[in-house]
Amino acid sequence: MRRGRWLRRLLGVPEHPDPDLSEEFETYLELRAAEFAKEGMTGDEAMRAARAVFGDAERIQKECVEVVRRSTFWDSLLKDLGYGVRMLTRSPGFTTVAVLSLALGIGATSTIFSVLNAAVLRPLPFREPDRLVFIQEFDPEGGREGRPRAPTFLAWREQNQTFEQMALGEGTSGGARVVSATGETERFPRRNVGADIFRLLGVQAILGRTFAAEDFAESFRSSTVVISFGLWQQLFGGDPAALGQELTLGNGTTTIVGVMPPGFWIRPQTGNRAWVWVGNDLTQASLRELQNEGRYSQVLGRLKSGVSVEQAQADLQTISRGLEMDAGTEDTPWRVQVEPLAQVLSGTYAGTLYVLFGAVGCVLLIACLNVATLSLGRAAARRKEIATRLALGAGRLRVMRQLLTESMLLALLGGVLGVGLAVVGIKLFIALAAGWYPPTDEIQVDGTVLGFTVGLSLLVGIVSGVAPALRSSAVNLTDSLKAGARGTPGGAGHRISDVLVVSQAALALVLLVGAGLMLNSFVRLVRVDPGFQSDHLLTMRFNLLGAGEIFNLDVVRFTPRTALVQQQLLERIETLPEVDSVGLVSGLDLWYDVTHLGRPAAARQEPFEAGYAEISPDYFRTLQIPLLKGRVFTARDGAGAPGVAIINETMARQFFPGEDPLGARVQADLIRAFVHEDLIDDQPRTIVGVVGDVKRRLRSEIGPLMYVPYGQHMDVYPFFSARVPALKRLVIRTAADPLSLAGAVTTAMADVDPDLAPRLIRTMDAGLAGSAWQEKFWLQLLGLFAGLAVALAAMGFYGVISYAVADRTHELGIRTALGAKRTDVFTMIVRRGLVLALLGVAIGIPAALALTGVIASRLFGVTPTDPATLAAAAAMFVSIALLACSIPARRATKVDPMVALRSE
Amino acid sequence: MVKTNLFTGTLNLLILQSLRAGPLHGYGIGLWIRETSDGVLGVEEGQLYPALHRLEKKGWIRPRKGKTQTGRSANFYRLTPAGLRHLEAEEAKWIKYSDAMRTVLDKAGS
Repeated sequence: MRRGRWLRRLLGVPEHPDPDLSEEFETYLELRAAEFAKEGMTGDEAMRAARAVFGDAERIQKECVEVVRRSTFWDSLLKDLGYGVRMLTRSPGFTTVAVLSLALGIGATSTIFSVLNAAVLRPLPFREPDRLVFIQEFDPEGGREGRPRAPTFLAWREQNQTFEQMALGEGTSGGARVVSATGETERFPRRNVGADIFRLLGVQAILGRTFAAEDFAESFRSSTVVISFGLWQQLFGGDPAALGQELTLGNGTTTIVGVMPPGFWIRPQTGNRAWVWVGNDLTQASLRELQNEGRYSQVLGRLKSGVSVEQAQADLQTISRGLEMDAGTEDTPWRVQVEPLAQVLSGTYAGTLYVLFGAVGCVLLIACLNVATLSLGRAAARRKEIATRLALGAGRLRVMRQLLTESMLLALLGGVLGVGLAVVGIKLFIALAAGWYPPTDEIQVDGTVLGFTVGLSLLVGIVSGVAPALRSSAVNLTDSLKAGARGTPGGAGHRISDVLVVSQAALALVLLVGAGLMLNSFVRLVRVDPGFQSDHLLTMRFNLLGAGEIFNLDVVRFTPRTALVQQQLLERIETLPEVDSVGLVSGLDLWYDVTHLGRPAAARQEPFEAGYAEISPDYFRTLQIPLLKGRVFTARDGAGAPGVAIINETMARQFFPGEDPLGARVQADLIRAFVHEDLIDDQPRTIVGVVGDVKRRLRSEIGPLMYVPYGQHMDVYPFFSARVPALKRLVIRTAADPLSLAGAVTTAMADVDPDLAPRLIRTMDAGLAGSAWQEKFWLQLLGLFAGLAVALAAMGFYGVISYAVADRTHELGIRTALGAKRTDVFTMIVRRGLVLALLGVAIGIPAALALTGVIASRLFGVTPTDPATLAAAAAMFVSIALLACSIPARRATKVDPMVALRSE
Repeated sequence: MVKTNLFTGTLNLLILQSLRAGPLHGYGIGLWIRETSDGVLGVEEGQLYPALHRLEKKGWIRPRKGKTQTGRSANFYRLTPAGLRHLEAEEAKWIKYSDAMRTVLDKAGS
């Protein structure tokens, strides 16, 4: 019972509220007994009978007490709330500042939580998503990951014991040219999917059906398409008559059989969600049609219920081992890797979001500490009021509850505003993230986020309210009442606010260091010299292989027409007005093994990997990449001419140390990892020139690179690598504003071939700046959080010093009266702020050193412990804190000794 | 202590009904209930008191100290306007319900 007493008091249950009903009961019993007496009982008998029908009086009394107490709790809560509202409206300045800081903290936290919720926490929109897995293979030596080859996939699907279902996932394959009924042509992304992927995911068409056996009667490729909700809306305005409509897809026609629900995706996708799905029914029979065994498509599986990821992985590994034994030895066999689909999809985002969530949590914590500091200061001013309440008989717990109710009110108000800020914050985040998290339209304030915010607000109320409540309710009655309005300079109260403000300083400093490191990285990054003249350049990409030509199971063959198209395109664009020069480049992402044919086989080093780019003759002139040695390509370096190559400086240094590369004979092979058999060899080439190194992205490392004339490209590429040389980049130099040429170039392109559709039309400078977008994103978010944190902490300093000044008005008055100079007073006050700020720095620096490791991978050119950044952040923080302190300190110097003393 | 909602609801209604004619003390209310409907108070007549406190908390009745005819002091309970409104609303509900029941039973019987 004793243990329960403090709780009862905290809840506002009065010590002796018990209604005394004994008299009431006596009356009842007496009258009831009289009734029995009338029936002929004696006095005693009648009383006994009356007691018997009345029941256990003691228990009934208890029940009544319970009823009364219950009402007391709610009544007193209402009373507390009413009182709290009155107190908060009485000091609107404090209330505004407190609510705003909490709202900022809660709003920022809820914003990041919304993203986290959409990207990581929310279950995938598929049936029983926990059983869905992503299956791939990896090279245990090289650490590379890749999709399984078709025969492996088929063997897995047929022989496994652990999967309910397994299907090819989604692969992109360029655009689909769709001709609508009105004859208008539009391009939409085209996705190749396994025939039964929709069944595997457990999502049904909202209109029509998904793929069925009849769609694959003629070919392993479906004669029909399923379209996305977005495409249905865009092309048919949501008309159900879309079913059965024919679409022109590349060179053939196809029929729409189904529409998927809105928001459905297989791979997260941003922006315009309009695309078509083409089915692939991969079977042993269709395998023979393919003539290709590349690693071509991702594989998804649904585990049998109760099967673990490890069991499934072991199962597939056993099957793969069987295949290797059948096929004889290969190089190193790749291993199977089974991962939960949710983990694969959220893996990219989870790390980043948790770091941001931590950062924003710091901001919120600072806001809480800030409100706690302000409340403590205010409590000092309210000391008399609280003492009066205590003197009037309110228990200490009762007063604490009152103070906690006030902080809860503040937090809930902050929470309401915070939800509003989160709605704005999400928009801001999406703008900053610029496609980083693809399904951004799924980020929203939903029930989960609201629940989180409410819970968070309650927590914030407790965190920011407990210290002031504890501290303020421990008022020494007589002292406080005697001291009158002036209040005593409270020792313990100051110590608590000092701790709070130092904690704020330390937290803010950690964020400031993080933002400083990102700023440092960003500045270094944008100052990187890319190795060419990046201004006055227009760039765009296009896919040389028209719609439908490239298919993920086919070998891609470059036809003579392909070369012709490129040549025509360059000629057309060159003659456009304002165009100084134009170049084509491709394939920088394709890596080859390069062999030095001039060296004896024994003396050849380990395979030398180099990038391989096909370029048009004017490429170097257009980009103004300096030629260091030899010559550039000319129009004569064509298909029939002897093979030639130009290498970059890095390759010259690494592959030909101490040698003259000019005249050397080399040959490139597609790296073995890509294909297991039939290595595709490039022709032997003579090195005719050396050019300067170029960075395509600001952050990219410069590697060895070999340029070849685009007229001398390979004729055949296996699918997975064909996309790289087929994706071309056009660069155009002009003296005019580059973007003003975009329209003319696009028209010229369509004139050469209507299937050529340019993408990513932008200036080279914008493209380069875009390659620093991740750093910019981090810089902006961390900068925003650090700014908030520092502003809040500065408010904390301002508050603490203000209250200290208010508390010491009397003392300051005496000092001034005794001849202390204004500067002395100012220095004295500011010194206190300086000590607090330096303490915060002393704690914050080690904390920052311990925590900045989490953003190490985002940094460029600075270490996470960069001393200059640490020093700059500390100096900046201390100056801001001192600035915040100087305002109340200045006020202290204006204390009129007469007024201060008279207030006695 | 087994109390069904029906019991509590009925008891509340009976208490309010008993006060319609004018203020009564605990015993008077109990007597009225015993005379009106046998057995609602159950085996413990004292259960009346928690019910009175509940109604008081809801603001439907209000006590005032007074003297009984025998000169003992007791709380006299009076129906508040809110209590009267509640009583009337409940009454209407009950009448509707019993009418419906009667219709059903009549049909089943015929």
